[in-house]
Parts: sequence; C-alpha cells; structure tokens
Amino acid sequence: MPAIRIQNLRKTFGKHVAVGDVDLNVAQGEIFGILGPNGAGKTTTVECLTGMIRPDRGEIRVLGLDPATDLSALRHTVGYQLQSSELPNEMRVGEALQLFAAFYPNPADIDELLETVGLRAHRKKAFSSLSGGQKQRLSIALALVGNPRIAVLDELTTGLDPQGRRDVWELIENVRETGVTIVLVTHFLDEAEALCDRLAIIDHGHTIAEGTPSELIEASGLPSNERRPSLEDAYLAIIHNNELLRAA
Amino acid sequence: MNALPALIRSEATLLSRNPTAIFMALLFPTALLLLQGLVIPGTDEVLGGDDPAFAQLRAIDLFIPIALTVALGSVTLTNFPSAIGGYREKGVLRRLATTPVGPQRVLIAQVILSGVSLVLGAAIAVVAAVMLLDAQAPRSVFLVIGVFALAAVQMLCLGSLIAARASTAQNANGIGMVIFFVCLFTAGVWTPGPLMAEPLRQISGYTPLGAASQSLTAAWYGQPMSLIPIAVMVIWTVPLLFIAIRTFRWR
Ligand SMILES: Nc1ncnc2c1ncn2[C@@H]1O[C@H](COP(=O)(O)OP(=O)(O)OP(=O)(O)O)[C@@H](O)[C@H]1O
Ligand SMILES: [Mg+2]
Repeated sequence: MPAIRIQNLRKTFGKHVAVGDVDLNVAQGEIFGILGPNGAGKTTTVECLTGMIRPDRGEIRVLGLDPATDLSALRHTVGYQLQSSELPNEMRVGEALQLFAAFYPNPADIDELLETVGLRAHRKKAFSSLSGGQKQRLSIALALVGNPRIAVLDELTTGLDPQGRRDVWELIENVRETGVTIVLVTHFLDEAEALCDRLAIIDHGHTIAEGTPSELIEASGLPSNERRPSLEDAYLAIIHNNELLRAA
Repeated sequence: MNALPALIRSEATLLSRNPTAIFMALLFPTALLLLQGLVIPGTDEVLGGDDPAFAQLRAIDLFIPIALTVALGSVTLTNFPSAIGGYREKGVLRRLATTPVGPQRVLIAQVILSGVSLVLGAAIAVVAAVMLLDAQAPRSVFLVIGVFALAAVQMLCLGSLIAARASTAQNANGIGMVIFFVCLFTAGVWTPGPLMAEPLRQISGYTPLGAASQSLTAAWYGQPMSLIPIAVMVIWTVPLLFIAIRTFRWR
C-alpha cells in the first residue's frame, strides 16, 4: 500500500483555482519533497491530504484512509506542521508539548523530542519570547509528538539558521529511520537534494514533474557536458519550460 | 488519552498568568457590587411599596442577584468567546485542528474552566456583599449555588455559539456585547425585582439570562421557585452546545 496517493485533485477558492489537477504518489518510508513557486498550490495540496480542507474533486488515500470519511483515524496517523501557526503567547515550550502529547494514545518522549529539536534549554520559555527559528523547531516537535506514521512538514526550515537547518535535516533522517514517511514542502533545492528520495514539482496548480532528483535532472533536458546540472538548474528549467508551454 | 484534563490544566495555567482575565473572572462581580453599595447613594434605604415580597428590602439587596447576573453575562458572552476568537485569529485553533482533539473538547474545557471561575467569582462577591455591605444573605445557599451553576453552564453554552463562529477576538466581543445588552434588558438589570412589568417579565422568563435572573432572585429571597425558568435554562443548554460543536470553525 502506498503511503499517499492523490489523483486529479482540484480545489478552488471562489473563482480562483488554487489546485487544478494534482497527482502525487508517495511510498511508505520515503522522504518526499514538494517543490514549486509561491502560490503554486503546494500548501493547498497538503491541506487537502491532511483533511484540513475539502477538495472539490479528486481521490486522496493516506495509508488507505480517505480524509473525507476517516478523518479521526487520519488525525492519529498524520502529524502536520502548518506553514504558519501560533500558540498562546504565555504558553511555554514544555507545556505545549505536554498538552499536544495528551491528545495521542502513544506520544513521543517529550524530553527526547526537546533534545532532538534543540529546545531542551528553552523548555520554560514562553511562546511569545521564542525566536522565529525556535518557534519553527517547536512547530516541528508538535508535528512529531504524536508518533505519527506520516509527517507532513510545510516549509520546515524556513527561518532557521544554517546550523539549525542541518540539525533539522538530521532530525528528519532520524525520524525516517524509525519508519515514518515524510512529506516536506520546501523552496530550498539543496535541502530537497540532500533529503528527498523523490520529488514532485507543482506549478499553477498542476503536477508538472515527479521522480527522484536524478530523474528530474534527466527530465529537464539540460545538457550535462562540462558540468552536471544541479537539481536547482533542473527545477528552474522545468518551470521555465512549463511557462513556455502555458504561453503557447 | 487525557485530552480534556490536559486542556483544562493548560487553560488554567494560562489564566493564572493573565491578571486581567483573573480580575474579570474572580473579582468583577465583587467590584460591581461594592461600587453600587459604597459609591452610589440611596442603595441602603428600604424600598417600601406594596409587594410584600420586596417591601422590606433595600436596593442593594435586590442588586446582588442582578450583579451576579451581569457577571454571568459579561464573562460568558464576551470574555470567553473573545478568548476563543483570539485563538482562531492567531491560528492556534488551526494547530489544534491537525490533532485528534476535536472541537467538543476544546469548547468543553473552556466551559468547565469558565464555569468554575464564575462560581468562585460569585461566591467572593456574595461574601463581600454580606460582610461589607450588610446585604441579605441568601435564604438557601445550596439552592442559589445550584441555580447559579445551571445559569453559568447555560450562558457558557450560549457563549460557545459565539465562540464557535466568531473569526476574531474583536468580532466575538462585538457580537457578545450586542447579545449581552439584550440579555441585560431581559434580565431586568434596569428594572430590578418588582419594577419590571408583568407581561414583559413573563416573556423574559423564556430568555436565557431572564430565566437565570428570575430563578436566582427567587432562590435568593426564598420566594416560591417556579420550575419554568429552570426548565428554560436546561432546554437552552444542550442544543446550544450541540450547535456550537457542530458549527465550530477551526479557522
Ligand atoms: N483560503 C484561501 N482563500 C482564497 N485563496 C486562497 C486560499 N488559500 C490559498 N489561496 C490561493 O490559492 C493559491 C495557492 O495557494 P497555496 O497556499 O497553496 O500556495 P503555495 O504553493 O503553498 O505557496 P507558497 O510557496 O507561497 O507557500 C494562491 O494563489 C493563494 O492565493
Ligand atoms: Mg505554502
């Protein structure tokens, strides 16, 4: 059974088509990256697959669960880090984790989790006094505290310092070692290249490419004579080709 | 899974760090009563009049159930919904929506915590009024506590409906205020005790805060309790909470 299968997903907001036609296939135990320009429909796609919003059309299966009918099971299965979210100002780091841990039957060990996301020393800090990167780390920890089988992380390293990004990469790989499937939305191509087994590129609400990093480089059609094209080169070429195709 | 106790504990901790909210919950009714009793003249003169149930009372005696009613309304219709509206505005609810916790626990945790703090606040006010203003103590303490608790739950359920829908704290406050003033009118805040015209009194008895005010007044002065306002409160409670849970917005 695939971890996630999305077919012909469509979601509109009023007249605006946020997602026109997205297909995604994520295997269990994979780290899967979703790339694409701002406003391409990445967040909308993951909101549909986590059951946060209802799509207009399309089929979604998450470990066999349909978000429309098995929402409660889905909530136990999937940890979702929102692109932006807040906690009450006065809530402390340790308290937030304790609270969220109480929502799940088999939560992670909070001390361990604090250690892994590098917030151990900030356990007693109020949410409002955390730096942007620290909030981000807390947000990742909250997505993992329920020991989910799938973690969906939207822009997980945005706002982190270079060391923090590397720490989080390591964290993600460690989490994957435990058998968790990871879907991450990112704008950092080096991150995608370092972490992801497979990727999808979404543009204007459509999946325009899906495959391993080397398959995407191949698919970009870039010549690899003097220098092998990077994933970033490939990404930009694929987006550019899509623009030309759309214009035609 | 101990989600409900964890939510209550978490909210209680947050409340303990918020002096304004503590004041509103625990000391607002007391402040209201002391202001009326100590500052406004004439509140300790005997009313007289024809109605034997009220003739021996002073205005301040009548004012105790009214002050409790005002506190009931303000905490449940403005403070509590605007707290949840604020969570919605900030995205805290969206974060909770990704977990298995569900709207019913989020709402019920708030209802329980606000209910407990309201009862405590009311108790402080009554003790202060009896000791400092020499006001008449309730005839039946247990009956008053029971009626007040029921009224608190009922009003919190009404507040839940605002809390379930309001998009921001300000929005919740606005809606809450409008309903609050209508409720104050039906509760007879401007026409205490016997001053409200009888037909109006009967209609008001079917509204949430009107029923609360009438049963509270009756319980306080040991007048015969009518079951109608009690039934009215029970009937309001369940559907309001049910609708609130069903229509709860996470964003
Ligand atoms: N609730 C909403 N109401 C109206 N339009 C929306 C809503 N959510 C998203 N959109 C629109 O849908 C489109 C896709 O948004 P989405 O958030 O999915 O993009 P994204 O790929 O995640 O972008 P980014 O990289 O900037 O996070 C955008 O044009 C956005 O303005
Ligand atoms: Mg996004």
